[in-house]
This record gives sequence, C-alpha cells and structure tokens, in this order.
Amino acid sequence: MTYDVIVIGIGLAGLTAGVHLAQAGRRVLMLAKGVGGTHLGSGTIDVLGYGDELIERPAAAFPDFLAARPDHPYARTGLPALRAAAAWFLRTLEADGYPFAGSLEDNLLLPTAVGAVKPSALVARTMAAGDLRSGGQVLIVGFRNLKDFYPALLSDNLAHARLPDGAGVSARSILVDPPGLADEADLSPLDLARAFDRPDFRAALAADVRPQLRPGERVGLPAVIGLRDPLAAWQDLEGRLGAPVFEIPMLPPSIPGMRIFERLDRALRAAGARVHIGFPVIEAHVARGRCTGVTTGGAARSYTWRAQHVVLAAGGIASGGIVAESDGTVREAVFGLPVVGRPAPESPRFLPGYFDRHPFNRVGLAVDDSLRPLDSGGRPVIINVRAAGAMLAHAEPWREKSGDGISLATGYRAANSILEEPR
Amino acid sequence: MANLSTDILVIGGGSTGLGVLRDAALRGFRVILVEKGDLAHGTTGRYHGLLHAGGRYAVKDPVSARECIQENRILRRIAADCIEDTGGLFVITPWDDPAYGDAFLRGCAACGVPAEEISPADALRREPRLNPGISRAFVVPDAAMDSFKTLWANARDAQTRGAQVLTYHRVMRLLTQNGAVAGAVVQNVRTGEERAIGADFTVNASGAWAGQIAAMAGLRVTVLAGKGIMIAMNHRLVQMVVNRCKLPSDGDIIVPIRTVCVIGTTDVRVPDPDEYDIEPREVQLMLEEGEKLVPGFRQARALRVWAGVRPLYQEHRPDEVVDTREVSRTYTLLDHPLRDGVQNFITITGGKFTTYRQMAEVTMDAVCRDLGVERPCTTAQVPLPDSEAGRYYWLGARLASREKTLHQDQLICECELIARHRLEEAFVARATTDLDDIRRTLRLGMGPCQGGFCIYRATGILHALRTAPPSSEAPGLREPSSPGTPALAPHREANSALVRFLQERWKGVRPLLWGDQLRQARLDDWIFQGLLDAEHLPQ
Repeated sequence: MTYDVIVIGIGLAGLTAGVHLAQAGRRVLMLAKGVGGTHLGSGTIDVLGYGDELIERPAAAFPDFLAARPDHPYARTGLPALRAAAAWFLRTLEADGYPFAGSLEDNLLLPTAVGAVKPSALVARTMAAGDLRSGGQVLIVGFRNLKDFYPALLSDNLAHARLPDGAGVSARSILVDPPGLADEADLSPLDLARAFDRPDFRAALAADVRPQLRPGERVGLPAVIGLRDPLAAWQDLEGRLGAPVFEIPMLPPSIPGMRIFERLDRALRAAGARVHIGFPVIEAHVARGRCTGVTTGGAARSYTWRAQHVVLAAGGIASGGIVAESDGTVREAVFGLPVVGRPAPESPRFLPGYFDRHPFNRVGLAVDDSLRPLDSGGRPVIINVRAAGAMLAHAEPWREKSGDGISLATGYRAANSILEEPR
Repeated sequence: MANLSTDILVIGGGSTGLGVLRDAALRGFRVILVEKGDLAHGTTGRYHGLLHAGGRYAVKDPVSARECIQENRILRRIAADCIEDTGGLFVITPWDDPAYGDAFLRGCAACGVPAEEISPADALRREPRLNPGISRAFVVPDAAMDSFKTLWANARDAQTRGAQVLTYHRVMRLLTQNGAVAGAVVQNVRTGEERAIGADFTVNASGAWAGQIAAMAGLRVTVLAGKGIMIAMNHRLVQMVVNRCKLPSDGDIIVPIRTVCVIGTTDVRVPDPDEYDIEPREVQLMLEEGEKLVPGFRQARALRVWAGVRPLYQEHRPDEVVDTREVSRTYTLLDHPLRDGVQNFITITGGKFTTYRQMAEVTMDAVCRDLGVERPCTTAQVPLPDSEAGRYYWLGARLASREKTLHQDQLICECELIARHRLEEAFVARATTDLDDIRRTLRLGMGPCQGGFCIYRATGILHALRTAPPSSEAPGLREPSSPGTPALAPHREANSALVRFLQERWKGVRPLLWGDQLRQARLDDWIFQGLLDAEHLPQ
C-alpha cells in the first residue's frame, strides 16, 4: 500500500507533522529509530528565550531577532505558523487531560533543576506556579534518595537569582523521605512518578510536608507528579497542601516530555496513523527528483514503504539525523541532502570557551518556505521531501531556548505545505 | 600561617616527587612535598598508562631498556593493585621494516627484556582487531599502570609515616643560607597566603619545570619540554598493550587502561611547559597511525585528547637539539653540591613513569650521602597500601565492589561506577571544591558521557556538603579558612565548580568533535544549556 505521507522521526517535530496530517485525514506512517527528543528535554515549549539578551516577550521580539538572522528556521515559517502550531498544540494536549499555560506574548521564568531561571513560553499547568517573574516565596521539596534533584542548591541559587524587574525570590528547601520508598537506595524518577499516581502516596507526602510549610509559600517538587494522570495528581496535591504546587524538570529521562509523547502518540493512533518505532531508515528510493519510498532495517528484516510525501524530522546531530565524520565531512543521514552552515575548511569549527558561539553549531539543511531542502543553487533537491525540527540550519536551539518552538512551527508548516498540495 | 620546618622538602607532586616523598618517609626522614597544582596535575596525570617492559628502548636506548625491565619487575611486586597485567605485543605491520624484528630480539636479549616471538596467527587470536597484515609479533611483559592510583598510594603511605603533602602550593623563591639551599617560601595559590618551609635538604623533582626551580637558586639547568598528545578511545580496542615494532615514533602504542584504550603519542618540543595547543593535524596523525595497528580505528569513538610534557634533560645548549626523541629517556640526577657548589639541593629530572621508584631511590641515596647519614632504601621491598596481597588490578574490580553496595548506595557516575559515599568521602578527604581534583581521584566524569550526568549530581552533593551543619557523623566540607580571604558563598562555589568542569571537559573534547562524541557533546549541551541553563547561573 502507498501512504500519503511517511514521517521519519518521532520527536516533537515529527509528532506535530504526523498528528496534524493524520487529523486532516491523510494516511500517515511514522518511522523512527527510537523515541526522540521529547524524552530528553524539559517538557516545556521554549519558543525564544535568548537573542543577545534575555527575551521577555517572544512574539514581540520576533522581527528584531529575525532581522539579525534572516536564515533562521523561524524566518521560513514566520510567526503566524508558530501561532497556529502553538494553538493546535495547546488544544491537543488539553483535550487529553494535560493542559498547558502561557502564550507566545510573554515568557514565564521557571527554575531549572540547578536553580537557574529559564524563559519558557508554554508550560504544563503543573509547572506554571513556578513562574518567578513576580518573585515570591518558594519551598523546594526534594527526596533524600533521589540523586537527580538537589533542592538546597536549587533554592540557594533561586535566592540569589537576578530577575528582570529587580524582583527577588525568597527560597528555602527541605528533604523528605518518599512514603513507602525510603528504602530504595537509588530511587528511579519513573518509580517515583508512578508512586505519585497513587492517592495514598500523595496523602502521606502531604502529611509530612504540610506542617513544614510557611504561609504564602509555593511548593516546588521535581517533575515526577504522576505519569498516568499528572493533572489529577497535581490538583490533589495542591488541595492537600493548601498551597500552589509546581514541578521542576530534571535530567533525562524527562517525565513531562514522556507525558507529551504519550499524548501525541495517542492522537496519532486515534487519527489512524501507523507508528513504527525501532525502524531505522537505511535506504531512500529517489527517482527523477522524487522520493518513492524508504527501506527500514531493524531486528527482524527490512521493509520497503511507499508514500507520496516524506517529512524528514530525524533530528540534528544529537539524534543522528545529521552526521559529522572524522575527516570533516558532514552529511544528512537518510537522503544525503546537502548540509549548509559549515565553517570554511581553515577556520575553527569550535571556539575555546564552552559557552562561546561555535560556528559549527549552526550546520543543517537549508530549506525553502515549504521546508523543502535546497541544493547550493537554491533549488529543491527532492520535490516531495520536507524537513522539520533540529535538522534545519542556522539555529542554536539550546542557546536561544528555541528548539521546541522550532519543532512545533516547522513540523506544523511542513504538514500544511503538504495539505496545500492537491492530493 | 605558621612557618614549617622539615628534614627534606620535595618540590613537585608528580610520580618522581611522590616517589621521593615515600622513599624519604620510609627512611625515617621528616618530609614535606609541595605542588603548585593537584597531585598528578602535570605530566604524570597525562600519560598513556604504560608500564614499560623495555622493548621500546631495547635497540636505541639500552640503558633505558635495562632500567625499565628492572623496575617493571619491582613495581609488579610492590604496586600490584595499580597494575593490570595485560601483557604487551610488538608487531611488524606492512609499514615497518621486517628486518627490525631481529634487531629487536637481539636488543631485548642484550638488555634482559624477555621477548618471545609468536606467530601472526597466534597474535591475531589474542588480539582479533589487529591488522591481519602483520608479519611478526613478539610478546613482552608490558602492563597497564594507573598513574593516579599509584600517586595516591604513595602519598597515603608516606602520610601514615608522618610525611606532609601541600597541594596548590607554589614555590615563590628558594631560601638560601651561606651558599646552601635551606628550604623555600611557598604560596597557597587559592588563598594567596605565603609561608616559609625551612629544610635541611631540598629536592627539585618538578619535571619539565625543573629549570624554573633551579633558576631560583641561580643555577642553570636546561630541561626541554617534549609535548606528547594522547587520545582515549571509548572501548578497549585491544586487551594487551600493542606497540609497533620499529624505532620509537609517533602514534605507535595503544594501551588498554581501565575501560578505555589510549593511543600515543607525539613528541614536539615546546618552549613553555604551561603553554601548548593540540593541533588538528596531530589528532589526524594519531587516527592514521591507529588505523595501521587496528583497522577501523578511525571509526571508533574518541573520548578525549590531552597532552603532557616530558622533561628531557639537556646538558648542552638548548638550541643544539632539534628532535627531542634523540634525547635519552633515562633520568638525570644533578647533585648541585658537586656540580655547582650549592649545598643541600638536588635536581632529579628526565626519566619516565616506569622508573619513578628508581629515580627516587638514587635521589635519596645521594641525599643521604650529602647529609652523611646511612639509611638504606626499602621501597623495592615494602608494598604500597592495597598492594600487600600482590594481586593485580582487574577490569571488573570496580563493578565487583559496586555490586556489594548495589542496594545501599546511589550510583552517581554510571560510566565509572562511582557510588555516592565514595564521592562524599573524596570531597571531605581531599578538602576540595574542585571537581577536577575529584576527577583525578575517582575518575569522575572520565567515561563516555564526559560528565553529562554525574557532574550535575556532584555539584549538588558538593553544595550539600558545604552547607551541612557541623557534626561528627557528617564532617561536611569546609574550605580551610584563612584571615583576609572570605570563602565563597556555597552557591557560588558550586556554580563555579560546575562551570569550571564544563570548561575543562570542553578543552579535552573540542579537538575530537565528530561522530558519536559530537552527538554526546550535543546531548550534554542539551542538558547543561537547554535544560539546566547553566550559562545563566548566579556567579
């Protein structure tokens, strides 16, 4: 059978493109080597947090940001596509019981697990009370046997944070034993998240924490408040504590990211898409400038899949979508598409300081406004292939705090560009 | 702070200095060692980990070869816990002169280095990744030796015998009295505080920096700095030390050590032992040479690159020497009372890690002679701590010890299997807030992820120790306070430790960012910048 669209990659960009296309009635096949960036990130939708300085109002900052970066992926989609994608995302997640807060107008400032203050546009409602823009009092609660969360360091840094309007945060921390799990020497965040799904666990925890709570304090916890039904778990905990509660994302695996993945995956299947994870694409079939299908490898045997269109969302260098070799060559892994943004052979690829702006960090695919990868002459290379997400050149997502927004906007735009074509 | 006095002052916290420290302590001297950085901060912590059997020098430098095999046998006896008995192979590849094999065997026989020829097929059975085009192969008793562990063991043993070790103490000037050296003024580089250490005898064991120290006594000592780069690969591509059977050259040794293997090295003279770069072409050279020994080497994942500077003593004018490989690898003892008429001062330099104990022995023999006392050396007989049973280290040792506490303790560094209590003990025992000191002690962050996960955890644990209320059960970690230098607030100390480590790691991976290691670096960016936003911590 021939699919309407094959989507390669199941990070946020691939999920966005796939769900949007499937909901529009297209027959969609998702092919992925493994789960994607959702499981690594913070589970927030960071749209634009830093240009040269901290950005408080992302939508308003777009024109200046893009004027200085005319090749940025956002310049291909424009702000309207990002707005439409964000609205779609908020709708889709809310419909599955995991509502988000925030907008593209203002960034919230949320504490990170080390106690820095990071700008995010859209955040799960379970995180929203962590917004520090107006300061306030927070109590950070950690678990004695959880090695990936250090409440004392976190609160110490928050207490010394410099916030835009000169607002200050009063922060302190406590360590508690997770009820019933105190004997686990090396507590897994997943086990903890599953425990939070149980009312008796939440009741026992609240009984321990509530007497230590001071009036006016908001309570910050690691982002493990429930895996199955985080909204209910969070609401219940707020009720039992009588105070606002917020989650703080931890190191991978990201439980908030897994919640997003689970819901978009469910949306895919509900809209009739087929999802194959563990199916790395090992060969692409291209004839006369069109892709006719791809072949996947995997544990059992190889399969060849046919489709009218392909959305390539295999991720950047971190995910293996873009590969750099020891001899200096850089290639796109599936189609061998031209990679742009490489520094000249004799100029440095990386600079001496870790936080420097490294020239090599912006390599990726150049695309047109339909997100079709381009050759050096500016012509689409394969007419029915579109690229989205971290594969695109000229962005520095972890520095700009823009990766989630780029994935949403380009995944959505790639899907729309296919929907605009006659079937 | 109070001035100190001692019988012997040792300058330099590398293998030579620590060897002298322990040798002196065993002979019953009061002894103090000063080091401007951490122990193993210089050349010793930047070598490939090879305990030579002497084969490498058997043709060209027989004196070195004899010293190596002699010390190899002694170290196997006294430092077994620091040694993995991998054995070594010398192989003739298609790029090497087949006639060298006979010269090699003759040289080994003449120097007493046991070398046994095996068939290429046998060599390939033992080391399946080796180039199948090898024409001859020889087995020698090379081994892998952990320089960090060896140094800590020497320091620990000397300390239990009353010796003192002052790390992060730089020598500002030597004290002199009537034409004799009488100790040194040292500065704590962290607090800026100075103190005088009066000593009956001073040993300059500062390796590539020995010329700088000798100059403080008005003496001219020329030590060339020969830079060598090394690259750690993610896997043990070989299980034995593998050498090219030819005259020593660049990139011709691969040493399996702990969970990695290290290829080395180069030899380039650099004017300043503190200032050198790693050039992309040097990295490419290592990969090309590695490929000749182990086809596919280039595709393996390179973890980290570093360089060390060999101290090469040169009796002539420095501009006479072009190739530092032509300088003997044996060590040099400069008895300044005899050589220069400056009393109570000796410089020991040159040499190599394999001969550190012997260098210490001849140094202390000379010190005893100059002091007119007779106290025999016992370092060839008295085993180092944890080596008493004579059991070699083995690759599974850490896992075996970790398994015992599987259900009682957190695993902080998954790559190097470091449990939480060991990390906390190391912070307290070393009284340090520098994560790089902990890396040298425990190998924290030295594995494939280069600290991606454990460094965040270690930062949190460091902060917790710094803020812990004082109690006998949890001693906490307090900076040695000193008047006039307020300690950093704990959050600033933790943040700066984190950022410093990220920068230090970046230095080691920057020349190697391709393939899987670039992917790893990107994941670490994702974590430290995208997720934690470490760039915007309060500093």
